[in-house]
Amino acid sequence: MIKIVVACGGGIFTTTLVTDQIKEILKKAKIAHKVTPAKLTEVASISDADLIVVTGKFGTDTKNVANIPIIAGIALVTGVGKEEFADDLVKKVKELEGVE
Amino acid sequence: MSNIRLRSDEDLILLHVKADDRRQVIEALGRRVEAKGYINERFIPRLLEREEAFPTGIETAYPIAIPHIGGDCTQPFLAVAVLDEPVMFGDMGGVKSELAVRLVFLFGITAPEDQVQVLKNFMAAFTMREHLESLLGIESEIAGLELLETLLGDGFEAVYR
Repeated sequence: MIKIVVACGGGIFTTTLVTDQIKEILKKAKIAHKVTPAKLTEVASISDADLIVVTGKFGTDTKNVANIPIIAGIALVTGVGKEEFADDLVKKVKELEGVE
Repeated sequence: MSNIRLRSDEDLILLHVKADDRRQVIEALGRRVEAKGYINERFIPRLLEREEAFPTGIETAYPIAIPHIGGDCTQPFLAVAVLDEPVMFGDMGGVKSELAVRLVFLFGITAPEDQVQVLKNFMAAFTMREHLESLLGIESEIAGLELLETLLGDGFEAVYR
C-alpha cells in the first residue's frame, strides 16, 4: 500500500483535483493506495507518507524532514503533460514499493 | 445537493474590469460576494494573504487565476472578473514567476470532496483555448453566466434575475 500526500497552498482546489486523478491513475495501474490531502505549509513536517505530490511553489528538489520524495503535480491541474505525469507516477510508485 | 452547488448570478460576473493589480481585482470580486452574504469579513483578507504566499495563477493559452481559501464561506460560489488589461498573478506551478492574467475566478468551496466534479469540469473547460476566448469576448453578464452554466454542469447553479 503506497501512501501519498497531495498538497497545495490552501489544501482545497488543486489538492482535490490532483487527489482525484492520482486515485484514478493508481486504480488503473492496480496499485493499492491511500491518498490524503494536505497544505503546502505542512509538507516539510509530514512523516507518515511514501510520496508527496505538490501543486504550488515548493522546491521539488528539496525533501522534507522524513526524507520523503516530493514531485510536482501541476500537470494534473493544467492537463499539459498529464499522460507523462501518469507514467512517471506509476514508475515512481513501483520504485518506492520495490524498495520497501 | 443544492447547498454544495457553486452559485453565481449576474452580479458575480464582472466585465471590463479595470484594475492596477491583483489585489484590486480580488477585492472587487470579494465586495460583490460579501454583499450577497456568502462570505464573512475575514474571507478576503485571508484570501489576499494566501495569494501572496501561495499564488493561484495557472498557465493556460490565456493565463487564469483561481483565488480561493477554505472556511469563512457559507454558500459555495463562483465569481468571475474579465479584465480589459491584464494584472500579474504569481504562477502556481512556479515555472514562471508571474503570469499576465485577464480572467480571474474567485471560488467559494465548502466541501471539496463533494465539489470535485465541478472543479474538474472547470479545469477541463478553462484550459481549452476556445472557451477562454469565448469568456474573454463575452458581451454581457448574462451571456457569461450562461457560458459557465453550459461548461460546468450540475455542480454549478446559475441564478437569473
